[in-house]
Amino acid sequence: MVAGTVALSVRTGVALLGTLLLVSGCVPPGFGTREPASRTPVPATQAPPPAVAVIHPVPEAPPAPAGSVELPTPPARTAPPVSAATQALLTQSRVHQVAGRYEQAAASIERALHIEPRQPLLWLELGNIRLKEGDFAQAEGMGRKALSLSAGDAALTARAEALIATAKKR
Amino acid sequence: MPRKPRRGLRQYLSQRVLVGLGVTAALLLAVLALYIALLDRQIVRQFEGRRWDLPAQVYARPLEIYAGLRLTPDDLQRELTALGYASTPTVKSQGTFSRAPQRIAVFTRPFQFWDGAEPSRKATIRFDGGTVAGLADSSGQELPLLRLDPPFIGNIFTTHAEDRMVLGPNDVPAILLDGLKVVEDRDFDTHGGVSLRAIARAMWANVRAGGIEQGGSTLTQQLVRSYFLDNRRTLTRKLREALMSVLLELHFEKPDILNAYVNEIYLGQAGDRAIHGFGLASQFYFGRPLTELQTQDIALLIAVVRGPSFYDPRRHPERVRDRRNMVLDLMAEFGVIDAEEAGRAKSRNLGVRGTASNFASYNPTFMDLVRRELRADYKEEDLENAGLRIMTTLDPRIQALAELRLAEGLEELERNRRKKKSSPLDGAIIVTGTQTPDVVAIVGGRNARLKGFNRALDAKRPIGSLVKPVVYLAGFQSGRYTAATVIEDAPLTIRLDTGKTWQPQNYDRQYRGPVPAVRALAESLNTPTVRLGMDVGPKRVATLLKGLGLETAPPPLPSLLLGSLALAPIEVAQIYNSLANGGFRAPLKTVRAVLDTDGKPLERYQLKISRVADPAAVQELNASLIQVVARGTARGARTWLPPGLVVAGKTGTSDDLRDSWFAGFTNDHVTVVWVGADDNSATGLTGASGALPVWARLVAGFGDAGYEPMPAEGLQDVSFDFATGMMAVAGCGDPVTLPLPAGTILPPNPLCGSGIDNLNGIAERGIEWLRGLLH
Repeated sequence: MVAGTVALSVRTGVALLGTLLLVSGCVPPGFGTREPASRTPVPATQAPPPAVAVIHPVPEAPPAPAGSVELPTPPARTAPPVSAATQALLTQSRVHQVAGRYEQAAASIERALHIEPRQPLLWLELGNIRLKEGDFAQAEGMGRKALSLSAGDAALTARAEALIATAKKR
Repeated sequence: MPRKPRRGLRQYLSQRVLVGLGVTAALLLAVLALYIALLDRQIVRQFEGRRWDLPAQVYARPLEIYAGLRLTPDDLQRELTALGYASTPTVKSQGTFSRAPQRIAVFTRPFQFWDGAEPSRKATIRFDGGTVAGLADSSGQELPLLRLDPPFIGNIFTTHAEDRMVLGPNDVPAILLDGLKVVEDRDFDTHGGVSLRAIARAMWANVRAGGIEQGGSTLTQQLVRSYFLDNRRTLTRKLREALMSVLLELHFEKPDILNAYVNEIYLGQAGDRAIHGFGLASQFYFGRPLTELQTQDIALLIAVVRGPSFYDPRRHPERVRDRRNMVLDLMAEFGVIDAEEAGRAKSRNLGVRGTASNFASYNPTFMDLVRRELRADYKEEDLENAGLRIMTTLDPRIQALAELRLAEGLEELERNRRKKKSSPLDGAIIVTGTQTPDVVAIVGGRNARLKGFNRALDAKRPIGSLVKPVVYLAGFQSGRYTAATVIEDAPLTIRLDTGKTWQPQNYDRQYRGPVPAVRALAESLNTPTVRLGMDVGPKRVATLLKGLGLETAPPPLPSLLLGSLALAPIEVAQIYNSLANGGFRAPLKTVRAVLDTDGKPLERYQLKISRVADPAAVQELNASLIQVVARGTARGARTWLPPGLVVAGKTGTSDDLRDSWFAGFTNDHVTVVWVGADDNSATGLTGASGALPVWARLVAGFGDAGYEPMPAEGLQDVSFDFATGMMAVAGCGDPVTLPLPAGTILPPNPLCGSGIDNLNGIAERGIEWLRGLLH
């Protein structure tokens, strides 16, 4: 009788268990379809933005930073005029170069190249930045590009050739 | 005595029953606990998984405005409108502009670029017809440069079609959160996941019938429901949902749950793309960021929550307007907005823009190339989950123009075809910069919205005469040929390595005798090209081709000289970009930079350049390519191009007229067009009759400057007779001026003596010209 009662309880228990399991249904859809990537979570607050790079109206351009290739005695230059927009970006680039931020300096020049793609001064500047970054192959390429745009201008041609020569030596 | 055992037995039995029940209860509780633990794990994983599910956002090129830029006020207005800037009489807030005939005032949005932050600012841009005359800031000081925020062109999602634009807590206006709570879940701040009051309220409202339908579900329950696609409202599902909501509330804070809801809830359908979250919904319905929406817009989005297809503002505007206004009333009733504002908002139009289909799969062919470029550096999961921002080179104006011109052009070509039962035509277009390797537009097929086979990147087709410029360039580089060098156009037999012979023919099977190289190229004559090419050697041509833009050098066979080489349009674009770039190869790219979710630069794709051809020889070649359009097989382009616009290019036709190509450039853009049939059947079109009209109509709309030759050391401009290559004499012959290596000696022109010979020569050239028109 005891056994019977226990058996009854067990059977009831199993029945109830079974019903519960049935009622709870199968694993719901969507489970395991998207594995969350183990990634550092996005912070709830925004990080403060880096240094602002605002294009100010044109100030005096600082001289080319040390380490760039310069002609010993440049004669009176007949460089093609640089637009205000290009000048502003050149200035911004020089600021970055002085601070050692070469990637951003190059980015400013590349922006300027979208405005004046055939301006040899920009290609020279970019080549000098690549020299400082140690990318001598690119420095030479930029020098050659500047050279191809400097036909007829002795000073620019000389600067471009000097850049090429320096890059090739390394 | 007999009673005792019975009582004992009953006691014994009841004890046992109690124990049995206790065991069962314990078992049941254990199962329940297990079940709850299972649900707990599921919902937490879902919540956290989705939380970190931030697909990379892709942006087109930002418009940079400066004095001297060729841009009309209409162009600028179009760009601002596409960016979601509102046109208002006074410019008082971010994202607005006002337009006068030759002047536009704008209040820009801030944007974190890879080279620094561009702050929000007020500026006035003055125009002089089709050019920017100058720009000034709010204090009147001249601005040298103004960079607008870049157009958002879509998310990179590679595996699933749920699209969202994830917002941080700071990007969500408070009025949206308050409005949501008031309409959907008034007890959100206090309930533990399930609100009995809400359920009771809902039952009461349903019984009464007529009040705004209160769902009994809390925001938490709706969030849980949105994680699992099952919409069956069975009791078991409701119970599970309720349990999970409670669990969710136990694990996570209210603000986090609310933020997840804002980013997760389904709000619309764009073709096969499901629009999730208020950030993307704001773009989808209004074309503007959520922070720029007005009260009635926010109310509309809240109204849509209850059922985006039932409350589709484009298909059921009246129904949506009614619900929006009810939402506004509720918001006023509960103090989210005041009655006056509610009244104003209710009187406004829905303001929903465009159609759903425009939003679906933006620029799939361009995105295709972006993904391929990124695959080298980023894993799929980084692109899906890390909230990256991808800055690209796409020019939306040129992209839209290219798509339109291809579709129109192909339709017209099919209409005018003689053989009406031919296979349908398709095509591809690529547009890049000239001195930069930016890919500004890609069209992979005539149906631009279709995410199918990307012909621009993957359809390799024989290039035919498109190869000829490279052959002549090899000739010029060898030092033995100039553009004026006379080459024989006469029957030719080549002995191949296999022992067989090859006799290349001209297109019209005619021979013209001695012709200068520029004419042979302009008129796409085969025998002079093969003569020159065999003299220089196919190997040199193959090596030069590789340098200009191919991964591997093609087999250096004689047939290469006439373009028996299959390339994809993007490869052709790289080659012609290197030519336009003056002999410098800069690898074409679409991605300029990748930023992390806070806008910090992760990777900048630098401009890389290397010299791959002699710049002087390339100048000579480009001057010859100008003649292709001025005097040669591409003469017909002048019908559509602005008068006086100098362009350089080359037609290309493959065997049996299966592939029709034109590749060419202005000063600002290189454009390659391919037209053909997908089943590779003959189309009856040459480069000049098929691809050229599409090309010319497209380029005419760019507003570009004409190609300016770059003076090169060692070259000087020389005039000579186009037909014969002899010295040019005023009033005699057809003089053309090209840069030739200094010291090039030209033969004197004997024809410029007697009048009769002149007439013969002119008549001959007249017939030539007529024949040329048939090309």
